Amino acid sequence: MDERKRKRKLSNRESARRSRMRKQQHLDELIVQVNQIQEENKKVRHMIDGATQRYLNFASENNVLRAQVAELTDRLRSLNSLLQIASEVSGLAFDIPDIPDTLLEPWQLPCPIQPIPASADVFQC
Amino acid sequence: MDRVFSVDEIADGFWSPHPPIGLGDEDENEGAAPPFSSSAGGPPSKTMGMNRSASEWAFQQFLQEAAAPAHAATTVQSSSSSSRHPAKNDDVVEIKRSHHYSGVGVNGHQQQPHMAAPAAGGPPPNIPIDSEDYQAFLKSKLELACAAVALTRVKAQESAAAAPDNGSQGSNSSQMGPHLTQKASGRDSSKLQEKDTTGGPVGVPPLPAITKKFGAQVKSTTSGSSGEQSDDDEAEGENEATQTLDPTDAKRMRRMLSNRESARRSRRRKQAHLTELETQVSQLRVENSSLLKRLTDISNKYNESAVDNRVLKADVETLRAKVKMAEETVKRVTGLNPLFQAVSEISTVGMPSFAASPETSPDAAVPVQDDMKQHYYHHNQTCMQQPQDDRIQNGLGDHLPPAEQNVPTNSNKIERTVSLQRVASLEHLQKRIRGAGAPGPSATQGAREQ
Repeated sequence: MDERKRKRKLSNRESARRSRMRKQQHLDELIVQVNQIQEENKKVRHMIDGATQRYLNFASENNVLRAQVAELTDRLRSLNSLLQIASEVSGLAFDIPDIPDTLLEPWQLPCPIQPIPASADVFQC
Repeated sequence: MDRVFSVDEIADGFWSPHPPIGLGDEDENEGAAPPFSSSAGGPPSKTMGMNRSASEWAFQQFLQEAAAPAHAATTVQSSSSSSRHPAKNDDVVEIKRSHHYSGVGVNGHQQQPHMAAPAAGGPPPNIPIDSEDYQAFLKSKLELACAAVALTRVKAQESAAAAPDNGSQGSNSSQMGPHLTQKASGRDSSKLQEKDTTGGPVGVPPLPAITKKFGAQVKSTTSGSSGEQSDDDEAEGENEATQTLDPTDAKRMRRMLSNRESARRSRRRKQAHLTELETQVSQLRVENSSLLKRLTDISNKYNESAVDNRVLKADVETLRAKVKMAEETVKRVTGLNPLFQAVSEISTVGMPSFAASPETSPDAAVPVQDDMKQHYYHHNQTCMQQPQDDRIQNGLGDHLPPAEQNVPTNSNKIERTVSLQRVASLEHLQKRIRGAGAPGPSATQGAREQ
């Protein structure tokens, strides 16, 4: 009888220790996880800021480019009209550069996608 | 008997002789009486319809006497008195209640005083109904009586099943003590109470609160009475314990208790920390996923804008090239055909020189708009219509000087009507130009002409 009690006592003590160990591990694991995720969040936040910044740059640059395109289109159109008139009057045939209608559907331009950093010189036109 | 009482009546009702309603009514009242007195059925409670004189008598008896008349006498009294007139009814009510009380049989000697009163032939009916202060006096007495009864009743409740005298109660508690550890503190508290009351049976110890710590952690018991004493009773049992033990034990006991307290607090803190960590982890996960989503959104936008950018750059390049080409041809044309040179001169003169193109692209530095594409088309449509109209309207002779990089504006329309009259004057101008020699850009000649 005493033997059995002693054995049970030992096993209880053992299981208690194991459970404490498990609990401690669980706690440590949680702490590690918390730190990990916090780190990752910070990193992602940083990436978001970077991407936003770049996006804004591009967007504004695009605006400028669009304006230029519009302006150039107008000029081209007017020049064309002139040439047309001239050719009608003088009967000479001039090659009148067509206005690229691709301007309206920019995605038609078959241009390979390569990352173009937003260069500053684009602004001096 | 159903009678509508006005407010005053009701008030009087409480103090005036009780209307001859059947006994049932009292029972109800009794039932409704405050809990602590209902079970013991003690002295008539305030709400009872009670004749002041009768109850006053009964209380005086109750306070002075302790002797207990024969039980039988009371029952005879109650049955015979039922036929008497309403004033007597309160006796009936009291006897009835006291009878009821004895039925409960918790504590014999409590009833005696009540019974004694009726046995003495009941209070003389002729005592006049007194004024308010008498009522107050009576009330105070009543309170006293209730309190006394309540105290004895509580003791009665705590007593063991049948142990009436003090001695056996003491031994009983000691037997209970050793082997039932969690009952120990309960025991102590009841012992405590016994000390200050004279007689009174041993009350059943109040059920000790079940301790929280009885679960997982195994604790070795240090002293006899220790082991997982319940938290709640601890404080209560503490001072009693110190009385019986000598100072060193007392110190040890106090230290043990404080340790136990701090152990419990630390466990709670640890548990709180754990749950807090868990919630933090889940929150961070949620935040993380939302951040990732935002990141993908913004990177998509970024890619789109990068593509647009490249496209636009290409467009600008092609346009520039074309415009240059067109200008070359125009120059050539003007060279070949003097007619146009003259026109261009006049037009340069007539044409108001206007500022560079900025006003045509006022919205160039547009703040970032999400619907970048729509804006782009919108801007384009407007340009398309405008030039067509010009071309149709400005007929012959409207000629822009190639040198300047300006853009035709609505002013050409006005030019149209003017140019027709000019044709006539063109002829003589040409003669003068030919005289000047090399065709050169008409603008320079024009300039020289003016």
